[in-house]
Amino acid sequence: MTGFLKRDFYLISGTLRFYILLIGLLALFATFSDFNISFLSLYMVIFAMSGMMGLFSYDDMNRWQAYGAAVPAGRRAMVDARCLLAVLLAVWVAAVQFLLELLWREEGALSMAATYGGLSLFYAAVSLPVFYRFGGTKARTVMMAIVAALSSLIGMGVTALQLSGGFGRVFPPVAIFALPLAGLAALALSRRISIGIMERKKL
Amino acid sequence: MEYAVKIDHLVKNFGSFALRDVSLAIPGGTILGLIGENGAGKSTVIKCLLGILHPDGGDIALLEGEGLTGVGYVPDECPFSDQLKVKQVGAFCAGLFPGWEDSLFAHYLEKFDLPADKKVKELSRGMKMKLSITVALSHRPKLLVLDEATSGLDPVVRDEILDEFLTFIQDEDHAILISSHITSDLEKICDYVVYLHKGQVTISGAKDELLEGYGKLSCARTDLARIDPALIVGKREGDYGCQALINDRAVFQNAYPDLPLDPPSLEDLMIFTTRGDRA
Repeated sequence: MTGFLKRDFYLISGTLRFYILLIGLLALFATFSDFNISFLSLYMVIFAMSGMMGLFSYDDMNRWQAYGAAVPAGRRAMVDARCLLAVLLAVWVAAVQFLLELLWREEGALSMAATYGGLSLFYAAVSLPVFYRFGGTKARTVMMAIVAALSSLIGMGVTALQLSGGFGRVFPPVAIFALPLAGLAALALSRRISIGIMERKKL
Repeated sequence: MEYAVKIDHLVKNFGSFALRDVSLAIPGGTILGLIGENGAGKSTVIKCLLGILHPDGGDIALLEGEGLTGVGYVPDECPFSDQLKVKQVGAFCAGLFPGWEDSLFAHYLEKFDLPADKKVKELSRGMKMKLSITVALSHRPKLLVLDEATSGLDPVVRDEILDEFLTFIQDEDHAILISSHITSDLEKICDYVVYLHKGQVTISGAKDELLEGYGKLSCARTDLARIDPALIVGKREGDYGCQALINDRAVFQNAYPDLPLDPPSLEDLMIFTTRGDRA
């Protein structure tokens, strides 16, 4: 699995360097303006996850999945490596988020880090099987539809709870710290589904 | 090792195309060439052998149970992304293949003149193919599987790569399965040949025996008309003469001593078999 993980890291590192630079510039901008740091946090999740999903396009271009299936570790290790990369990226997002919150707000840093780390894991959990099933190009369209549907559902649910005044009861503030764990559980399930897809996939 | 590869009655169905009852065996210390026109099923056989595709039937034995650990695979296109540097390819492949040797990788990079600091996108097609072969050889495989590895390369690079294969095969524990439609390459290096046509094995055997057993006839139309059709694999009729592939040189020469036969090439076997099928 280390070989697959290293390859993914080499490929994603160029993209991440660019994103880190961009985040640095936005952070600098936020220092001298009223720029809302929450946007920056969301950008980080999007950048990290879209960087990872971009790896599937590299896979498609070089028929990497067929080659990977023919190495001793095979399809399962290929999926495992990408799941591990998702976890590492989520940790990175959470860590940077934590630092930024410390710099700008001083309070609630840990809960924000947990929120965005957990969100990254959930996004990876949903998108990995989709990308394994549809490939790098088609999966982007499918993901847009899924994200739109999920956002609408979550938005409606949250609004309904807020209007009824029950949000605090259903989601006590401490529940936010369970988000990364729930994300990990979702990713574990996603891994199983992805392996199932890869085992049957015609490469 | 008696057989590096043994495939028995392999079946793979895609609906519009199917591999039917494909059997072949590669003894240790030999090279088997898989020939056939585009779409004949060569890559499908290789993908089934390596577990890239799941066969619908038949048995496959790879390196007497050793499996993919002892296999070096070179696909028709370079599998390494353009954005990677050559040295990065070596670094991550070390984690993919048990038995990987960095010193061997460095040795082949030097031998093939591959610059470690260049990105894959900066390499020519020939250099990319050499990189794939370098990776395949750097974990000391016992079996090399090459899918159209020499297609699209210039004759100098092809010759250099074929020489490397001949060096590899000096060890009797080593074997090579190479698919190609460039039959001249296979004629140079192969010990055994399997000709796939529309998903089926049409011709199979030791290359020298096949080329000695078959004969290529060049004659007039009137001569061709008097030959027993059972002896003709395929024919080509023109205004100034005819050519035919004869399936049994000894029987033919006894029956028609006045008609001389030339030795055929693998390309002749392919072309005339396809023509015979269309007739």
